[in-house]
Amino acid sequence: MKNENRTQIISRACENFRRFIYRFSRDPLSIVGLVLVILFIILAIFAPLIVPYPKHAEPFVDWSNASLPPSKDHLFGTDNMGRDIFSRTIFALRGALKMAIGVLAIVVPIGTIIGLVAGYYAGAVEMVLMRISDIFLALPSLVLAMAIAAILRPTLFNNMIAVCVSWWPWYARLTYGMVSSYRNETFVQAAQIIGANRWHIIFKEILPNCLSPIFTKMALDVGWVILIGASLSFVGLGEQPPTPALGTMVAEGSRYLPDFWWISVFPAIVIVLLILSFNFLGDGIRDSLSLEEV
Amino acid sequence: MAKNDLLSIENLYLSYRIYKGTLKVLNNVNFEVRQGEKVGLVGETGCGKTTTMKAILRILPEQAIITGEKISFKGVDLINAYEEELQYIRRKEIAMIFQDPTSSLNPVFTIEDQLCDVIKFALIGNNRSLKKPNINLKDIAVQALHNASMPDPVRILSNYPFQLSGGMRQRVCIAMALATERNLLIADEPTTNLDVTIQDQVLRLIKRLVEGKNISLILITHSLGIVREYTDRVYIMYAGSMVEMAETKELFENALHPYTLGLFGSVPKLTGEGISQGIPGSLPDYLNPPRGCRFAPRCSKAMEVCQYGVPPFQEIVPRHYVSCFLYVRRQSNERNPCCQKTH
Amino acid sequence: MSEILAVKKLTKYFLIKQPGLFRRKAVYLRAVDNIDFTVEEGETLGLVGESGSGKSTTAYMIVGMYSPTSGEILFKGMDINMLVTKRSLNVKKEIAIVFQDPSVSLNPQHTIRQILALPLAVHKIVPKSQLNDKIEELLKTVELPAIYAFKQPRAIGVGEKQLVAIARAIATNPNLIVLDEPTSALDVSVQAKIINKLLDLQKKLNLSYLFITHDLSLIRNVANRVAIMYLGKIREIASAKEFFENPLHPYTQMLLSAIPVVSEKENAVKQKKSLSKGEIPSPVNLPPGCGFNPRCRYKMDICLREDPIIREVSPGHYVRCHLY
Repeated sequence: MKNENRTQIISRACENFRRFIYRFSRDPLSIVGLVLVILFIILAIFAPLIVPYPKHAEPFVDWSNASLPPSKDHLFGTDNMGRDIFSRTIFALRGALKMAIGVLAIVVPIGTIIGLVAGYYAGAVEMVLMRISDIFLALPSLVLAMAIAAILRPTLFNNMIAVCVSWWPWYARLTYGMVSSYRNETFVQAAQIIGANRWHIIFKEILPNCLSPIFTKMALDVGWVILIGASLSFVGLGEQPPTPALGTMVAEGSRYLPDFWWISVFPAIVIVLLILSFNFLGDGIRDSLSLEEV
Repeated sequence: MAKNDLLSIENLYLSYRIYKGTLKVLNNVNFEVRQGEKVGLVGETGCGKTTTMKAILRILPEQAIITGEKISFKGVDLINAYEEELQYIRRKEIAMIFQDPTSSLNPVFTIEDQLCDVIKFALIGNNRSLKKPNINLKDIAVQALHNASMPDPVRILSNYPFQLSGGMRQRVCIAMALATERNLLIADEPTTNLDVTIQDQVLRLIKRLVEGKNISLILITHSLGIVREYTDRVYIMYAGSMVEMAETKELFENALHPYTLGLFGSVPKLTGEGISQGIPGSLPDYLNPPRGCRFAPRCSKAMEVCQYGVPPFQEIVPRHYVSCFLYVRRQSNERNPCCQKTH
Repeated sequence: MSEILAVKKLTKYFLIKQPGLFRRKAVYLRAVDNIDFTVEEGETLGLVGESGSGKSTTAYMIVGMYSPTSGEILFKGMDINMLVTKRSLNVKKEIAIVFQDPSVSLNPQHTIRQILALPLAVHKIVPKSQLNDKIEELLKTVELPAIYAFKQPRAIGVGEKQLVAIARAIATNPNLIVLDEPTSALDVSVQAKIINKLLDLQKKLNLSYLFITHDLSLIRNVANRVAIMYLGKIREIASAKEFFENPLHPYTQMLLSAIPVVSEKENAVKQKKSLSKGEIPSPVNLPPGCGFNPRCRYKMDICLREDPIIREVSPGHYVRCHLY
């Protein structure tokens, strides 16, 4: 039985995976999204090894090469301090992705658990938890982050905390909605009649059915968090120079528009591409996980 | 195709393209309905009955591939027809009612809105350039509901679907289908979701209406008891092809195909004589269906020849057709059934 | 032969929330209204009715999903008139349920192994080391291949899913199994297999069944005794033979004449051609007197005023009707 056990599990997993891949690959945009996301992640991780001028991400000045337009040596040109914009942009990806991963790693577990508890227990517990989450939902992430950054030092960590505080209710709500409806499903009733305890029902029966929408939302949220991160650094509340950050680069370069357009434009394009690729990926995941089939 | 055939399907094959390959769903379907006839189509879940009806009305999803000789309605070839011709047929000739009346009706519109909409489409179509003729849609709607045995039709018109019971919703669907002149009504399991006493009333209503106006009826169901009372002729369908067809009385007295006999055995009888063990096995995998007779893997009377070819749908006794090697007649100039091509 | 289940004056009213700001008189949906019945050890009691009759609500109260408004539920003499969360583990072990649609009664994200392991683990039927063997044994009992343990419900047919649900129900060796329309979602050939398996298991394991269905032909072949419900009340109870050969209540007669049958022999059994008429009224706005009077062909004056009480007309045959 043990050998069959393993092969069966593997073949079932392969089956589900193949179906997912097939549905996913129907939509060319999803493929584009996936490829770009993987590309960005690799670039971010291996930045010091890939980039032509890694030193430019640290404090560096080269007045003789300042404000050069895009060329063979400098793909995106150089900025007013002579630093290669391409290299700095790739390094800036790190901050953006770090923020997204950090925020989601905190927000998803906390929000999901709160949603699970509120959804299953109903009554007073549900009301209290959902009203609390409503309050936090009303806080605008960007403004809150600005306020916190203004009071404390503006660092990546503080920005992350600020976004977390206003972001967790979305996951609580999502999970709460699903749990409220699954709570009345027949298979949950069957488990109750058998005599399973609460924890089994919440975590083993209901939660596995909620995962797909959560994963989809996560993929789409990466884009949003990156946008907020870029907005914060645009107004100067992100990672402080000389650490390269996408929003900061756009802000600094905006002073030199339209003559030295490349200083702003390239980082801005990268922001757009980054967010779009995660959106395409998220859409692709959502469409291929949905149960529509012939 | 005989002269008074209203609808004729000959040698129809249909497959669906999916990620694993092709589902060969319909495998040589032959089906005909004459004017004024009530034909039953009996089969279990997954045998292809609804797919066949959707093929007639050409409302299949885009992954469907139809091959086959012909689906013709009043002489019009439906497989190759233009969309305008199909629209005309849907408007004026063929109506369909479905199993679940709740999802057949739009919950946010009143009955009047929906009924008048259908009537207007049937009478005028989509052509907006036509001047609005002098028709009172509401009157026609009231008349249609009255014909469908609805008490107090005027009040019903102002109701929403959720305010009506299941039986009443189905009667509204019947009214929508038969509000204007039709030649063919397709009823796809119209009473499966209804209570027994309501089912009885709805079926009697359908029978009365189609007999009164000489409309042909295709009644799709998985209940042999229903076809016994409400049809003239019955087709038994299994895994994408017709396995038996006879006039109703003949079928119930003298069923031939092993699948039909298996079905009869499985039906619980009111006399309390117990139920048979059912039919062993399950439907074939449509991705890799058996090369020969699709019922052979489950058939207690299967012979070797059953694996190699699909038995022809032949007339064994006058007006009684069976697709089974137990009954195949061999004529001297007939091809050996073992070598018969399968799709 | 002992009484496994006894239900006395069981009632369930649902309060309908009235819209609007001002409190009006409370409106109740009388789903189940004062019913009594028993299930003996090893027998099958058929509970028959159409929609709105209250049969599913009754089933839910017996397994503890609903809490009765009033009345008693006695299991082997013990009072189990409480929600399932408050019942003792022992009671939960002895009462099992099989739902109508196995596509929703089995968790789609679980494997069959996980589904069958749950009752075994909750009630510690076997030690962990023997869990796999016990699951294999259960699958064998319902004639499913052992390999199914690693499949998910969506990979197997609906008839096989129902067999898994039955295997889950017998896993704890219960005394009573409540079957809520177990074959209504199945084709007739699959139904035959399931019913035969259920009858087989009943003999082998000495199970008692509360078999709920709307299919009278089916119950004729399954039940020892039959009770028919209409609008929350039991209208007639009798042995299966008596019920079908000598139906007394007008509703029973109407139902029997509406069933489609497949043979002349059965048509003869249908007897009185009592044409169905009328709609099933909503259990919220009940007509006064006997609930069936709007549709009854034998309606008398008293039927409009007084609700009849249930009487034993012949040994073991009870009817709730003014005619008797």
